[in-house]
Amino acid sequence: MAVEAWLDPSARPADLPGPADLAVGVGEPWQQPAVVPSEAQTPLPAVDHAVPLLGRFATLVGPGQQHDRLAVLCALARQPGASWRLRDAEEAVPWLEPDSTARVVGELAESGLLLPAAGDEAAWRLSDEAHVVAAVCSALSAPQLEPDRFVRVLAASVTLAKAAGAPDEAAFGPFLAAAGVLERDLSTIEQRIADGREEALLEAAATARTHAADMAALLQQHAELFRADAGGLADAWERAVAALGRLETLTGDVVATLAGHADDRVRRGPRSDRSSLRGLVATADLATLAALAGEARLPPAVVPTHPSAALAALDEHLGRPDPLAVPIPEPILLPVEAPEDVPDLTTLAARALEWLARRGESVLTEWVVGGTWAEATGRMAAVVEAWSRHGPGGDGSLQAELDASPTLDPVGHDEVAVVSRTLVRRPAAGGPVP
Amino acid sequence: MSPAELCRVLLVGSVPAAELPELSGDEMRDEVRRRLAEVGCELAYSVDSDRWVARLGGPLPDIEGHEPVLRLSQAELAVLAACWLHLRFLPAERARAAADGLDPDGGDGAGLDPDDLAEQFRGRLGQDQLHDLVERLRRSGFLTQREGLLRAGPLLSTFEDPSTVEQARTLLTRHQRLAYLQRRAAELGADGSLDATD
Repeated sequence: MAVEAWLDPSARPADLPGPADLAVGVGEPWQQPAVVPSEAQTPLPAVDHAVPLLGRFATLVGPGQQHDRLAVLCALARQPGASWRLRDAEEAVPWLEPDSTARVVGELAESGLLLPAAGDEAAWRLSDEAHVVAAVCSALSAPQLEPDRFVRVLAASVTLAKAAGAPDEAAFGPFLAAAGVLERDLSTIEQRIADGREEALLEAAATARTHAADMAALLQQHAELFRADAGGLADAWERAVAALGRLETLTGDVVATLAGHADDRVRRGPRSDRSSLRGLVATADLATLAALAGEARLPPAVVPTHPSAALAALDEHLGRPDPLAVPIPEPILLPVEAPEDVPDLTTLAARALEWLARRGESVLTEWVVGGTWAEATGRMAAVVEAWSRHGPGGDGSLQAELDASPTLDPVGHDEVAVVSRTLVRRPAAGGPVP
Repeated sequence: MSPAELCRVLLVGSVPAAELPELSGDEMRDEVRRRLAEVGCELAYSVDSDRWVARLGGPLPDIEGHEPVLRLSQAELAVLAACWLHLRFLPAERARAAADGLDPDGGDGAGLDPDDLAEQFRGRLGQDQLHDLVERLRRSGFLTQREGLLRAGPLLSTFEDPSTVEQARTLLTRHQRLAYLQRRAAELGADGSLDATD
C-alpha cells in the first residue's frame, strides 16, 4: 500500500483524518487492532518470523530495560579474540563494579545473547545475533540523525536488509522513503526561492545535493532489485530517477547562481531596466524597500511662521469690508421688446470705454456699476467682449486702454460690495495699444 | 542675506539657486554649511532642479514621546525607494552603461506613471493609500508631478549616496538571481526531468 500511496499522493481524500485527528493520548488504554481479512493474508506472519531476532533488541532497549546491559554488550562485542572470561569482561567495563558486571553478564547469557565458549567452560562468546544487535545499536549510537545523512542511512538499511536475507519488500520501504526525501527537498528549495531567503536556500541546496548523491549511489547499487517490476516498484523507480535528475539540475543551478558561477544569463550583473525594477518593487517586501530608503535624509520640518506675521495676516483679514446683505429685489414684469430694439451691448461697452478714456483716467466701475447686480455683471461681460473684439487682441480700433490691478475697491451700492480696480485711459500714442 | 538668514530660509524649504547668489561664494557657502552642521543638518544642491536644499545630517535617535513634524513611515519609505529606483537609479545606471559602451535598454526614465507605481504595489498598498503617500512625498519635496507623471523632486536628487546605489544594485542582482531560479524550477517542474542520473 505504501508504494501506491507514494506513486499517487494526491489520492488521499481531503476528508480523511490527519495526524492531529489520530493523536492517541499516553494514558489511553491499548486496544488490540482488528484485522479485516484473515491474518494469513497479512504481513503479520512474516513479522512473526522476525520477532526472535528483533526481540533481542527488546532485552537491551525499551521500557524497563537498563542501559547498562546495552553498554556492556557493546563493550564485549569489541573484545578481541573468539571468547573471553569474566575477568576480561570486568576490564572491558571498568566503570562497573565487578559484582554488577557479573550480574549483567549472567542476564545477557540468560537471554541468549551470550553463549558458553566451545572448549572453555569458564569463557563466553557473543551469539551471532548478539553481534548483529550490538553492531546495529552501535551504528545508531549517534545522538541524533543529521538531516543530510538521512538518505545514506536509508540506503545502508537497504544494503543491510539484503545482507540479512530479508525479503525484497524489506528494502522497498527505505527506498520509497529516500525517494520521498528528494521530493521534499525539491519542494523546500522551490519554497525558499519564492521566499527569497538566499542563505537558507543555499543550505537546503547543500543538503539536497548530499541526498541526491546518496540516492544516486543507492539506485546504482540496487538497480536490479528496484527495476524489476516487483511490488509495483518500476514506476516508483522511474519517478525517483526523474526526481533525482530534477534535484541535481536545480541544486546545481542554485549553487552556481548564488555562488556567482552561473552562466552569462545571470553572471553579467544586474540588468537595470524598467521591467527589472518593476519586478523588484512588485516582489520585495515593504521593509526591504524601506531599508533602501533608510533615513531618507528628511528635510528639516521648520514651520515658516512668526506670531507677528500671523497677527498681521489676521488684521488684514479682519480689515476687509463686511459683506453686505442685499435684499432680494421685488419681482417685476419684464417688458417684451422686439429684437431690433435691443442695443448691441458690446458696441455700447466699446463706446463707453472710449468715453471714459477721453476723460483722462477713469475707473471702469463708473460705467459698470449701476442698477442691479445682474446688470453690472452684464456690462462687465460686455466690456470683456468689447476689449476682445476691438482691443489690441482684436481689430485694434478701440480708442481706450485698460489697466487691471488686483486691488479691490469698495463700492457698497447698487448691489455691488467690492470690485477689482480697472483704470481706463487714452492709449499711449493716441491710438490703440499695440 | 546673512548666513543666519540663509540658514533660516533653507530650513524652511528648498530655494532656486538663482535666488540665493550668496551661496555661489565659497566662503558664504562654507559658513552656511558649518552653521547647518552645528544643528545636525547639512546643505545640499540638487543638480536636476537647480535648488539649494537643507536636510537632516543623520538618523534621528528614538525618543519616547517625540513627535516629529515629518517622519516617514515604512510604507512611505518603501514608496520613496521605489520612486528613487525608477527616477534616479535607473537613469544613472543607463548613463553608466552607455559610458561603458554597453547598450542600455530603451525608455526615458524621466517620469513615472502613478498608475504604474500602484500596479507595482498592488496587494500591499491600496490605490488611495498610495495616492496619499505620494502626495506626502510630493509635499515634502521628494517628488514633483508634471503632465501626470511623477518626477524627481529636489530632495530625491540629493537622496542617494554611493552606498545606497551599491545597495540597490545588490538588491536588483539578488532579485534577478531568484527570478532566474524561479523560472528554472518552473521549467524543471514542467519538463519532469532533464539530467536524470542512471
